[in-house]
Amino acid sequence: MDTPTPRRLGFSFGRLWTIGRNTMTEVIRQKFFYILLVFGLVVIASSHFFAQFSSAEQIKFIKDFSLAAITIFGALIAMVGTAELLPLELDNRTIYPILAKPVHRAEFLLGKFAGMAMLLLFTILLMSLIFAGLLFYTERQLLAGAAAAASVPGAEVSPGEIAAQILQQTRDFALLKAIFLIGIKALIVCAISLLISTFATSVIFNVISSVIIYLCGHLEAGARQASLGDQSPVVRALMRVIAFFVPDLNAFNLADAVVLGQHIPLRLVLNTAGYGIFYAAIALAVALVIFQEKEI
Amino acid sequence: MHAIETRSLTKHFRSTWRRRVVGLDHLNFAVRENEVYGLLGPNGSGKSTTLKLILGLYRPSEGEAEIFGMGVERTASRTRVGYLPENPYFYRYLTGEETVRFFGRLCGMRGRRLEEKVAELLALVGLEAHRHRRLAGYSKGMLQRIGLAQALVHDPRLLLLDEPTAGVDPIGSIEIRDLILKLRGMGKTLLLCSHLLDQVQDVCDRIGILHYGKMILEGDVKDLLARREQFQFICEDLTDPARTKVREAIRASGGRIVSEGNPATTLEQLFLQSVRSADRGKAVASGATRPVDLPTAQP
Ligand SMILES: Nc1ncnc2c1ncn2[C@@H]1O[C@H](COP(=O)(O)OP(=O)(O)OP(=O)(O)O)[C@@H](O)[C@H]1O
Ligand SMILES: [Mg+2]
Repeated sequence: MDTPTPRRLGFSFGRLWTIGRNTMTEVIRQKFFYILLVFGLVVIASSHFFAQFSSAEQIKFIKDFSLAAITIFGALIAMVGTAELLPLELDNRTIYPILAKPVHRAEFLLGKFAGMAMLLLFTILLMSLIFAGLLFYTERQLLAGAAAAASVPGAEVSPGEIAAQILQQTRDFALLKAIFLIGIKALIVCAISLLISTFATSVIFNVISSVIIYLCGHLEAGARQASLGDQSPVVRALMRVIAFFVPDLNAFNLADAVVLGQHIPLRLVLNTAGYGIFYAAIALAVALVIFQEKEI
Repeated sequence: MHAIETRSLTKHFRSTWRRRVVGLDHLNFAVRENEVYGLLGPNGSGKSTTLKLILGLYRPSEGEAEIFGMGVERTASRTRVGYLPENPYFYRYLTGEETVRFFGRLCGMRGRRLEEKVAELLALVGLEAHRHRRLAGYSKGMLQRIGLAQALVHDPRLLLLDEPTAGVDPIGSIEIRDLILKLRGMGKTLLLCSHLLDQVQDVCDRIGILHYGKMILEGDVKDLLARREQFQFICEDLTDPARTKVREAIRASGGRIVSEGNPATTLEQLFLQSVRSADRGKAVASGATRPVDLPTAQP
């Protein structure tokens, strides 16, 4: 007890993770989380019921639909969940006893982020598992169908060929790359939303801003091309400003390439992920600076 | 070195229409080590603001504060201080036990040592029977008790208690008062805000009175309250003739009787008596349980 007070208190991942784990519990207990998660899972599962003309079309549709659902529900959970983290702590005054302990504000804020990030990764994993199960089930069905069709005399394509085609489409490593980047994209959204919540107290404002930034991030690539044309200098300058602050979220969307069966170089995936992590880190750094000075 | 020292500590709040509200106005005061200091004052006089400034929760508009010689803007200054907020709010979805454990972890404790501490503190504040209930179902006084437990979890040398007995029943208040005395006996320093002047008088060595953010009176409780020229007897079984003799003796020796009469039973005494006699019949009352015996001094 009589050991002298340390002059400095180092950054502790133990404390960060204590906050993070508690944040996961907190978000899991909220209604919106269940609703979005269950809804996302149902939407993914429902893609099975849109029958297509051919087996190839059917698989393409399931992939396209499910990847889109994982992206959208991942982003929604990230936006709504993160927007509420700080306002809840401040309104309920639960932050006071925590910061009255030897806890750095950075540990608190990054702990909140870490908890939300873990939950997002868990959510995306769960949706991906449902997606994988669905894909596997469809594959079995189609293979059985192909075998049945092949047993009919006079079939044009050999059953082995059809089966190989189906398997090539369903057992596609590129899907993992696509899901990986969806996860990174959700983390960017999470970091942006946390940054906004350090200066804006309104959850609604935060969610709306996040949605706008999200949409801008997707329109960006298209807008850049359009701005090469005969736009006025003002519009072009505006585009450049937006492009500077808003991440190019389209880069994280591999669904089209996956569905078309294009080759996706691992290098590209890693570069894009690196860009995303860098962007999220910048957003978090700014959030830290603001939170450090914030009057709580 | 003082446990707490403030120099010109000032806090303005911005309110609507850019009007400034003064929360604290150039406060200079110090709490010595191993004393119990009572901060008094009307509602809105700046007591809670003072505590929050000392804990670095608010940034001062002007001036500075130190805990054991270290500026409160440093997170490290909070390793030796425990805080019970006024109207404490904790995570409603955690149980009492999980709450104390959570704060213990934040203070870098883990494993056996943490579990023992959690059990010890829950017993100390009389919440053993409710350790597995969620805080959403706790009463106000129970929340106050859990708040006290989390404030003590890392064995701090200094405790800042903001209205520790608000919402606590009279027996609980007495227990908290005894706890405060016990903590002082263990060498801790306490700064406490309260409106219960009787209690403050019982436990505090020194008091300060804040008014509109300024210290208007400060000093030793004994010095401030001693009325050395007056003296009081309370007697039992004194017959009428005996009373007359006493009066005569007092007059004869040059004294003057200011007042006499039957002391009224205070409502507090009545409350304590009836609850205690009901408790004797049943082992456990419904609310928070009384601690069986307070654990003796910690290492
Ligand atoms: N976060 C805040 N924002 C604006 N004004 C505040 C804030 N906190 C305190 N104040 C103001 O500062 C003054 C002092 O408040 P404080 O809470 O310190 O009083 P107190 O002495 O603890 O009162 P009580 O006995 O009611 O607990 C009050 O005028 C209050 O309105
Ligand atoms: Mg107060």
